[in-house]
Amino acid sequence: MDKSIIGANIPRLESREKVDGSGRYTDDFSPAGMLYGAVLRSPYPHARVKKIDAAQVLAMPGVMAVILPQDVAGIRYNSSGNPPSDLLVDDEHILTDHPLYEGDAIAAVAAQTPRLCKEALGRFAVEYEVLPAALSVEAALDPSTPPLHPDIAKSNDFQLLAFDQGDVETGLAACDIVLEGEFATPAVHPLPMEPTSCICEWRGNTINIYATSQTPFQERRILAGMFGLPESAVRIVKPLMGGGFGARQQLHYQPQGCLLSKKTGRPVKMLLTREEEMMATTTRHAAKMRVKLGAMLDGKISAMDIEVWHDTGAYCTHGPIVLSAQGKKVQYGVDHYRYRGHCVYTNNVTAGAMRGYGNPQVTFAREMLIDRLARKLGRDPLELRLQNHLARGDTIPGTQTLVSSVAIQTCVDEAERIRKEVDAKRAQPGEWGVAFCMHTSGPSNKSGMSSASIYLNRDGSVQLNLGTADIGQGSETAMAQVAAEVLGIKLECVNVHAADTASTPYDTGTFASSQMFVGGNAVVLAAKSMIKNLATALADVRGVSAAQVGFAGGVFSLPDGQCSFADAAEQVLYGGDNSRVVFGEGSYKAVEAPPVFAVCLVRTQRDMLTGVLTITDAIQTVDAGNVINKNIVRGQIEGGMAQGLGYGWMEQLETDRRTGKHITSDALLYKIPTAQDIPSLYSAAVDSYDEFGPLGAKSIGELTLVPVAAALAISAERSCGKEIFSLPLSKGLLLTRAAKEVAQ
Amino acid sequence: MKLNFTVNGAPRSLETPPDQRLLDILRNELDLTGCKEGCGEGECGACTVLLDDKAVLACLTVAAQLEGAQITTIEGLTENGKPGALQAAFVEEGAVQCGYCIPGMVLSAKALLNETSDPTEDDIRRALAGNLCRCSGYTQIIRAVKRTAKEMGAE
Repeated sequence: MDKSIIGANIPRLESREKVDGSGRYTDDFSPAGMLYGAVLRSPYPHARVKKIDAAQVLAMPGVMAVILPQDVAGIRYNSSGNPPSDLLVDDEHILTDHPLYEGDAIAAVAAQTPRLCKEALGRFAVEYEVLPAALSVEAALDPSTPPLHPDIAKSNDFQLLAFDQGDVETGLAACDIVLEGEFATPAVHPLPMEPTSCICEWRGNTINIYATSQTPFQERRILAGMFGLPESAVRIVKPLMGGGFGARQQLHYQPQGCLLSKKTGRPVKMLLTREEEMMATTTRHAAKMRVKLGAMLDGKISAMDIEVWHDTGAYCTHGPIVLSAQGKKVQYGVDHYRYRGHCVYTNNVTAGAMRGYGNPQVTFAREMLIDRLARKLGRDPLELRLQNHLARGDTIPGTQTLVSSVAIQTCVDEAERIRKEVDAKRAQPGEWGVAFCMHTSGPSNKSGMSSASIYLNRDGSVQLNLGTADIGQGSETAMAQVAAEVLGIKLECVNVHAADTASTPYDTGTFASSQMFVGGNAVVLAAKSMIKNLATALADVRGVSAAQVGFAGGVFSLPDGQCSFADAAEQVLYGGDNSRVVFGEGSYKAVEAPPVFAVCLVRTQRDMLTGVLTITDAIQTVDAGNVINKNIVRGQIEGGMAQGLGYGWMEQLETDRRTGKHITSDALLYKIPTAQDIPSLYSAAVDSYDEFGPLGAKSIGELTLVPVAAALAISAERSCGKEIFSLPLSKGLLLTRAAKEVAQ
Repeated sequence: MKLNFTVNGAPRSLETPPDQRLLDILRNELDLTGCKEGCGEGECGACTVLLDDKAVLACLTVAAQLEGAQITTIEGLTENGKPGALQAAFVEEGAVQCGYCIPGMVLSAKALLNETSDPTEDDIRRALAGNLCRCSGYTQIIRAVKRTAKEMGAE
């Protein structure tokens, strides 16, 4: 491999336009004649709209259109950007007269300015009948609570996911030690810095959309079906995007934007306020978990029994698929495994996809118990986990998935090396918490698919067209590196165009840590196909047989000498009678979803006088296969650590229990870590190679968030001597960052 | 009201309501879309610009406060079509991920470096504490600021 391209610290290609302000995000586009759209939202978590009158709104100069629930009464859909699945229930409305959460969409308006939109929302005359709301899983499961969607499910516990291996009851009975606990994790918001937005233009029989979108091809499918249009009539373009973390793996307000545009004949921009972002997009599922762990005195963990109730909020969206993914993430070789996941409707904010997709919740509960087991047995927590860890060739419990590569020992060794360095720097005593996790590369149900096409230019530079959506993680740069490596050309000779349904080929979507693994494999195939097609064309132009043309290291060999990639391109494009245009194309269907692994250590120290707990350091080492770009991987690890620390420490969406009103309605009341909160971070991606990965790479996207809250909570439990069963820790403990002790 | 002020070194004169946000003036009147709106409530820092060399939030600053002011936006840090020192360091250090917080982050760092050429890590963390970033752990951003300070000191 060319070390100047693969594994190097290459600055990201698109960083320049982001850092000089010239890069364009959705809100930076303003097509001629554009209007603004806004949504009237329910002020109650559960109500019935008895009467709605828009006369005063329509009388306002500058208001161009209004749509009401009766205009869209026949349409039910599921907004999730997953490929079609029987698990996904169609329970959403574009607008509803029976709002099921505070923020549910009731009406929409288009006007000439954002200010007019805001004013218009205040002039709808709505009469509500306020209904009792179920604001917790317990309340929703109470037999006296009516089902939220009686036409779909008789119970609010509307889907059960199950995975089994061995016989968990017998397995637990045979264990020397059984530990158990009831754990809870909160609903948290992904809070991407760019608000959710779209610009929709319905012209004639076509729709053009610019949107913050992780899954443009799925969204196109849903919209085309909703409006009875061929998919070719709907074009979705994802401009630069200010983060997603799962939240935009689904439609948000594109349906309303499209209908407002249809009605007015003009483009309509829908831009959420931060408050709408917090209440009316999607969150990570709050979870209640009952976990049992059975082990032998020698440390062998032989049985694991996990039952989870997820609060999916008012609508299904991703709910059951999150549980399905959650049940397949155990990296310890247990003989007996039982997983039961319940998806429960409540009148809370709708949950959806968020980085980790069910894994952070169960990893927290499981790792807490494993740490207690280590203390009970007097064992080193790293060593106990290693003893039970899956090896290459093992099968992941409850699944048929083989572990195709694992470098867990190297991760532990590297983490230990860093820990010794940190300990040498710290004067005060502290406690380390350890947590392991496993995620997968691509969807764990192997539904990931991606494709790429490559166009060849005369000078040997190429146009790489990808369906994958770069939402800030850097996939476009990584894909360009992969193409340059396989083609044997310079990185600056690859131009990437991506995530435009009219001009790039299909991709399942940016989710499930699939871009590097699934998308990268598609790029490898496309580049190989380009080489093959170019070799064939070169043979024709030069009058030799294709078998006489070889390729290595960016150079073609022919019977009468060598020919560079650029020379070959020139000869084939302008080579007389046999000249032609050459394409490469690749489609990759994930047949494997190689697991990735992380080891996380978090250190806290406790002030014995005040009891204040301080997070001083966090270490994370990962096995993400062969690293394509160190710069990107480092950003992914550290960013995941920051989000994981926020999850473990301070983040929680809160609702007033009496009124059902959101409390954490903006970025001031909902705390995420700032530059002053984050402790010293240390990260490393260890040497690893996966035979199924593109150039040996696996994935990194979600993994790095997953173990962090667990490692923090374990450190806190060891520091305080009090068993911890719920997150975030700030609810019960005082935490600060070591402002004075930061390692320089 | 008639507003006369300077943006990125160029004098500007425009007719605007006195309660118009600087954010909207920059984005809508002057097409300086590098100034980003993340919350519109002064919580996230994405719209940070410099007003007379000090960091302010463009969503909380209105036209009535701007008469005679010198405003610097992210577009104004580019030197002869090339990224300025801070911008280049952000790119090199991998401090830019989704990029939405970056214009504000760079300008907060610029305001710090206008005050001190040799900031400590705590100085940097404090100066950037009003700029939320959800992609990073801030460490690459902090390294970029340190690197710029060091390069400035070496000049």
